[in-house]
Amino acid sequence: MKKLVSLLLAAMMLLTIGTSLAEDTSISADLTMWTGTWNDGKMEELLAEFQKTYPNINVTFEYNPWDGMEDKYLASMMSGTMPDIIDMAIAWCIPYAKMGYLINVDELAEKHGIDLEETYYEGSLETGLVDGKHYAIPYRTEVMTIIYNKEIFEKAGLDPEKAPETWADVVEYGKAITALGDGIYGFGLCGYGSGNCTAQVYTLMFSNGVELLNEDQTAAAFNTPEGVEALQFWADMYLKEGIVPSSCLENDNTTNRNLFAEGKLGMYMSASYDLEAIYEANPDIQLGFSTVPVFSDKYPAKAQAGGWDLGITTACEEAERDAAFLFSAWLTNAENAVVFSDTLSANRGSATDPSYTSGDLKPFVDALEYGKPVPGNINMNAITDIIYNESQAVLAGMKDAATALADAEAQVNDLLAQ
Amino acid sequence: MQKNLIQIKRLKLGNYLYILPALLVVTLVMLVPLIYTLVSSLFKVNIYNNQWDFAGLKNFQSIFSDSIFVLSIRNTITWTIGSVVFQFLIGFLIANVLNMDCIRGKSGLRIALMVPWVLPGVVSALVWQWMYHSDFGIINQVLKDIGVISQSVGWLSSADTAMMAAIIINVWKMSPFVILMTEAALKNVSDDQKEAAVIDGANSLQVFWHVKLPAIAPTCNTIILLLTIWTMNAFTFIYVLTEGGPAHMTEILSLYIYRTYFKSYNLGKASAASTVLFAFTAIVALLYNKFVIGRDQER
Amino acid sequence: MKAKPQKPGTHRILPAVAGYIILAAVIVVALFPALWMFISSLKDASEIFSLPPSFVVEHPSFENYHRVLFETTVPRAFFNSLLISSTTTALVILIASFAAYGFARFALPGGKALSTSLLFGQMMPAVVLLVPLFKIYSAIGFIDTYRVNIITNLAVNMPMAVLTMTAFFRSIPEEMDEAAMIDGCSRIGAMFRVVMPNSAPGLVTAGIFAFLNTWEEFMFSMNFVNSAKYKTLAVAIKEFKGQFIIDWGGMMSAAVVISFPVLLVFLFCNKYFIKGLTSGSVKG
Repeated sequence: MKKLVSLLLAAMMLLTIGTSLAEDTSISADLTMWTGTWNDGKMEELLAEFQKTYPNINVTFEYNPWDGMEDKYLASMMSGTMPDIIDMAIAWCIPYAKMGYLINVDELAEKHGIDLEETYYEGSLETGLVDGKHYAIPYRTEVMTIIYNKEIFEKAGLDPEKAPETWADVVEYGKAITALGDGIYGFGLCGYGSGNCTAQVYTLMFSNGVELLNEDQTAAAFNTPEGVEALQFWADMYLKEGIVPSSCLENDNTTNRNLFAEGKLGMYMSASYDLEAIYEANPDIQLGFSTVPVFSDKYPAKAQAGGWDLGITTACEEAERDAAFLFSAWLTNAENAVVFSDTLSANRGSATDPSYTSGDLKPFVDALEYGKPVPGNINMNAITDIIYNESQAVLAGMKDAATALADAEAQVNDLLAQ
Repeated sequence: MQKNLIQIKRLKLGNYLYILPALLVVTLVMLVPLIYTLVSSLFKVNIYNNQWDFAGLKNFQSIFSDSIFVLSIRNTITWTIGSVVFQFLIGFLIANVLNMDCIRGKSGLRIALMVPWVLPGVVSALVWQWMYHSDFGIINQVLKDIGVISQSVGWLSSADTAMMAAIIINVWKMSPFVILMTEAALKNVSDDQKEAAVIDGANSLQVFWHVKLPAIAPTCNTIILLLTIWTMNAFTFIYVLTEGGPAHMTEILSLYIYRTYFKSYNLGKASAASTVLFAFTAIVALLYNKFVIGRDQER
Repeated sequence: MKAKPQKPGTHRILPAVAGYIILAAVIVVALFPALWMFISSLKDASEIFSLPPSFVVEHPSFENYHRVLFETTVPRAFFNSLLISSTTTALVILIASFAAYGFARFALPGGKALSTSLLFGQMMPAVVLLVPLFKIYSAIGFIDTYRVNIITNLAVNMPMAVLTMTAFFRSIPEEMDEAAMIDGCSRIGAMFRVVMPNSAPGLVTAGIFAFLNTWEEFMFSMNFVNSAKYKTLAVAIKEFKGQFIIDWGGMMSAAVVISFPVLLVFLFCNKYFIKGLTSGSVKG
């Protein structure tokens, strides 16, 4: 009986080889990949395309929502339930690699003829670099920018072609827009959702020359006059200037995007991944973009850089690592990374893609040079949680920025000392 | 002596098989984790390499010197007392109104009143969150229309009102349960006793005070203690509404435990806080067992 | 002859009116969120975010429902929740029946201590179990399955069910079992054919509690299940907020979808349920 089955299998394999010469049936694997809910639907299509070349590699996708993703990823990894391929925000790669959950991909890359340094942007590759070894394959990169509604600018008597250049401009423009009434506000501040909220706080801090941690990552470095100024300025947009919706403490980025798409916000801060949803909700909207504003000429514009990398976990069996690498490399090649990333590909080859050289995405490509990622530290999740809660305290009028940052510093130092 | 022998004879080990599956499930899913928690509260656990170092009571020292933990205990007390008092008073009042002889269409009314209790907690939290919204919320709009407030209030997002807003939802959700239980108990009060009191010349207030109230008191005690325990251990409402924010102002113990493990990955500290929550609950449960169950069995 | 309650006279009208007014006010508050949820679900995005919020839907549309039912994971989650809740409820009733019968009919040494410890089980803070269960389930490969939700809810609902049903079984005279056994029934046969049918309100009460609890269970499900394949409705609807295209209208439609079955179950069983409670069984 067993013999018959294997004979049949062999016959079937011969048949498959016969039908398509371009196929590589020598590699077979059954992989699991974790990615975000926003990729639901897209992954199956990409896989079907991939399987035209590798029909014997199958991938099961599990989609996690952004909300709580970081907590869940790490908790699952620590308890040993890992997929084979994992789609990670850039800030998580180095901690995961240091904890030993990711495998070094240098050898696999060499074996399959891919020169990592040549293929991907250096800045993106660095997010997975530990002791000169690569633990992640980057595919997506993005930097916070200001998105504004040209129509509202015009109504408020502002020049729709002139984007705010300084944070003071944002406040000034915001006041003119808020004066329109009808529930329209100048700026969409995020007071809810730890990742969304701190993306804004960090960006203001970065553009005021503030570092989050000291160089060897042993202590907090954000409690400086510049740090306090940045946080106070951010909160004052709500507390003093009144240019943000009164619901800002309930609004995460998705809510702000919805408000913006419905013409209730003049400006908000996000990256190119929001464009599709905005156009879907409001096809007629006239969008303007600007790279992140500066505080003064003392410090250059800097904004929190985000991005996503793929990693192969240590749970992936030796025999299936080639397949996992092939699929990861295929997803991140110049052509596919444009589709897979939704936004900006981390593959150098994608730069010539027509969608990047003209139109809406151009300003986002330009913004990449202002990007600054958060430190790759195991405790970054907890640090962000601390700064989130302290920022909320400032917004809620419970503390001033100086007290909040001093409290945050104490908690972060306590955490790092453990 | 004789009696004992007979009992032993009649005792068949096989009879334990009836209760075995239930005990097994409860032991595996509740007792084992509880022991795990109690034990791990005494250890400092490095979760990256799973190294356990005995730490004595250090985790407890560490949580009690954590101002957020102390705040979370205070929040838990406010949340529990605030919720239970109003859940019970409102539910009790409505149950008595519903129990009046002159009210018709009771079963329809009862079903309508039960809706908040039956709606899934996540749904209720999300709907109320939307109703409380400071820009598009209907509550602010209605209060502005009738002149109670002149400016929108961020009910869930301001430090002064967030806990109250959460309590209101909890009262809305659980009062129906009080109505259901109290009314059921009221229906069980014997008509004879009521009528005897009326014949003796008691007015309806006196009937309520001297006949109905003593009869339903055990049920009321049960309800209050159940509500206390459920509220103290609640998680979903606050997690969905505010995640404990703004700035920990609604962070009750269960959320503190959750955050300590799933954000800071501190197993020892999370277990120590769990132990404190368990101790709180056990005290309430002991009182419950002593005063309520004990008394019921004496009857 | 019993003294009839007084017929409603003029002095009876006032309390009745006051009673109706109080009940009407309370019912408005009780039902308003459900009503507002339904109104919001019919609004499109521009109406949802228009000021001031209005009770009148200008362009009522079922577009949100269409999206929820055909473009999201909600239908799958609905199926999952239904499967998990009904399996759990059936198992709770079955296992708790045996336990309740054991406690009600046999003098088990240590039985009292065991049933008291069940009481403590009922009071166990769920969050205390969360972390250890997460570790245990991970170690035995239960994460991301149906059984992880079923077994957890089974245990969480077991104490209440056993205690409720024990009270009911005790109220059935033991002579009835004996009569059935004389007629040729086995002990278990007597339990199924005589004791359980006569305790129907108790079974329904325990069943409804288990079903409602499981249907709305959120914390365990959120942490023990990753993939959409096994995700329950309560978690799916919470995740709407994190998704990219869904708005409040869509969320409210999903909320209507998740509430519907439980309202139905309650409407259908509410007579039995109230009878079960009236018998004073939910004492602990």
